[in-house]
Amino acid sequence: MTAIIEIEGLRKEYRRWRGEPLRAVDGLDLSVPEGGVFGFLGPNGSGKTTTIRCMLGLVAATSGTTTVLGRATPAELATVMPQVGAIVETPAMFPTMTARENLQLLGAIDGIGRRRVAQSLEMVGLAERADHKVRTYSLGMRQRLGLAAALLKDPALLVLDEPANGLDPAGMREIREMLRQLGSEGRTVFVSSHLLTEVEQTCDRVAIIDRGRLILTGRVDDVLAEASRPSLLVGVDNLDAAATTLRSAGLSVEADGIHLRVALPVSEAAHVTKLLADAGLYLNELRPDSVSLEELFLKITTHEEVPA
Amino acid sequence: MRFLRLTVVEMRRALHRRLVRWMIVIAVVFSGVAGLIIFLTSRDPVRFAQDQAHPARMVNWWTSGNGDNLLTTAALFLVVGAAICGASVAGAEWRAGTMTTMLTWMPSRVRLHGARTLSAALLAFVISLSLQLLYLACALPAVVAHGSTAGTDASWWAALVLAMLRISLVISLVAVLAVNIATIGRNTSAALVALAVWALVIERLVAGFWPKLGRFMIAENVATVVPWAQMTDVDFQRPPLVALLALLAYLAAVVAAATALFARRDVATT
Repeated sequence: MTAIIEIEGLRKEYRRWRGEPLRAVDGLDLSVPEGGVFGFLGPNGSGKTTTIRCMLGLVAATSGTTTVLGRATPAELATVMPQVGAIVETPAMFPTMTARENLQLLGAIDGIGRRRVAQSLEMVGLAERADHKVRTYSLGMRQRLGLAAALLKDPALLVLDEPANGLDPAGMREIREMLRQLGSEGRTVFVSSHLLTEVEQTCDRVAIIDRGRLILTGRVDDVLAEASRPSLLVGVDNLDAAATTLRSAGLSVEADGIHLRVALPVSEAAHVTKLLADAGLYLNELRPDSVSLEELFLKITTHEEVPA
Repeated sequence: MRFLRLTVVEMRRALHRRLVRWMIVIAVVFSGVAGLIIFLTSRDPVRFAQDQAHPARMVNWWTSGNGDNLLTTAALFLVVGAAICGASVAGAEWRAGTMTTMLTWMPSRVRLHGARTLSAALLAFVISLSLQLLYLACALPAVVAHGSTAGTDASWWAALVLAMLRISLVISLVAVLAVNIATIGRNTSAALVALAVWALVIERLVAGFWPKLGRFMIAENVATVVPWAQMTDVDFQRPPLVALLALLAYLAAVVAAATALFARRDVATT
């Protein structure tokens, strides 16, 4: 699969007046394949935004290389950027202008016409407020405007840093659907976020970084499957009796006060059902013990066990 | 082509700044008030006859060589306005965080800074020339009603036009200087303080303690370029062309420093 973003050994240190330099990114390696939505996750201060800034030439890497759309950045950014739409943190627009004027102004740099501006505003749901001054906009509306600006170039690659910041639940859902659609159109959407449920629902692939280093990367399903233990969660009214029954059948069982966690793959679920039914205990819940992205993220980035 | 489009975008952005608009409004109001004062003070024929330097005599709009005249007053205000607007255009960019937005559209920093500098120069030139015209036009009713056009022959008109162009050139240089100092300092106020300290303190101290070094000072060179004449009552010789070249050289050094810094600087905050 062709990599649309390739980062190798990226390191960024910020010099400080006093003390040691602040290492924001520490030897990051990352490969983002073409097409789909790629989630870039990490706790606050993990180096997500700095990585994006390095990719886009906003800050100079201390060492390492970044390649975007097959071209080295920042050296060849001028060639690359016409195909890249980007939001970095909260997008700052010109507050004394309307949304339409802002986009027309930015579009004028690349010779983008008014029709495309109107389309972009429509796509992000800002058409009705397009002629209002940006200084009257809420954070969520500014975020949408930033997204409209990113979409203006009809980009092959969208780099979005926390695009759901400030959006209400309905807005987040709209953005989620839009990102999915953009990803399915063959574009690559590289989205950094701390909203893990959003990422889990939106992204095809994910990378988690911590302290400036890549912790894991892969398809969301694969990452979660690898992190999950092959076990079943069992719900019954009498947990103690059920635990005794299952243990007497030689199974490994843990109780958390609500469920029993039985160390068996999903394919063995019928065996658990039968054992309990034979003992006169009837299930009210039986499901694979899957780990959510949030649980996995917390486990990795706080160095704690996955919550039981 | 893209550079030209970017320059136009930068000009539109600068004109959208409230401060720039307010400064233009203030200049327009000031011109109107000045015109009214000139008109009212020229109504008394006796007093007007005694005041040979009154601007209702059109010839006093501009006097060749070093001397008081209507345009020089305008130039002083325009210099201050150009410094404030130029510093604001670049300084506010860092404060508002729009630098990141611009760089995601125009990643070539040298071009972006070049376009901003060029747009500041062009805007300052055109706006200052327009304001000078307006300022002089506001004095016209007094000339027509109470004053005279005596002494305004073709050579005087040519000298007036050239003086206006030179003033606009100097205003343009000041705007460019302010943009570049603000780019270095990433702050409007810092740029204005630096400019004021340099022009009002450092240069005055140098010129006071070492008069011969006055020829290297910005203020002395500006005071030579605007009237296009050697300054009087000074201990040095500075032909106008050399003064202009000195100003351009200083400006080129500041622009080069600002461009180099901007090209290397991390844009790490929104």
